[in-house]
Amino acid sequence: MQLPLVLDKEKIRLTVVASVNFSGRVPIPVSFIVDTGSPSTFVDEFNSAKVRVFTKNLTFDHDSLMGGTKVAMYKAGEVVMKFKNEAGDLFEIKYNDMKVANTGWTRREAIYSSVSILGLDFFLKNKLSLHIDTVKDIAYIETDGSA
Amino acid sequence: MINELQLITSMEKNDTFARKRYTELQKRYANEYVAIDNGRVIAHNKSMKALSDILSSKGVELTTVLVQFIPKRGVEILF
Repeated sequence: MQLPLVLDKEKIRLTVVASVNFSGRVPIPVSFIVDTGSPSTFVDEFNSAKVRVFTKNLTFDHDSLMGGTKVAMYKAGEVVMKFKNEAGDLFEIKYNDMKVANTGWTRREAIYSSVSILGLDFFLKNKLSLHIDTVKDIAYIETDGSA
Repeated sequence: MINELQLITSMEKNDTFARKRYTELQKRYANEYVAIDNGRVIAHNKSMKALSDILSSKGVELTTVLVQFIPKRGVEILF
């Protein structure tokens, strides 16, 4: 099964929108950047706050350096994510290591990039493959459908 | 009941707007945060905190709002 990605040639990025269901909350749609250079998958706090998931109520996990700015990552536990497949239907993936990134709005000179990342950990733990064909202008995540 | 497919489609629409109008957004909102919903910019500010406050004061339903930082032309963001 294929989960289509957007190959953004203007900003040179791979993106995908998925709904994220934090435990006991209503689902929210999140625009993720697919980043195989990132060891962590996380939702930015602006998004998680939409369903009242705040880092101040979560357990700290680790710090990440993003573009020279230190961003704190907090454990959000298991979430249910849903992606659109190639037929336009929803495909569910449970992920038990989601993080929420603290915004750090008050830091002087720090650019809060308001970004949510689908990292390489997500691909490894869910046994997914990533396909990019820049000639045909297509990109997708491939799963055997059992995730 | 929440239609997750609809939520995803709405956010995709905002994503598409941000992607296709990126050059225009850079001209108008360089070094600002923009909030996009229903395929249009609904608020913008140089401060993310201020933008968040503006959205709250307007009573905007945030579920499908996309917020992005728009760097000035010639600057790229690495993660």
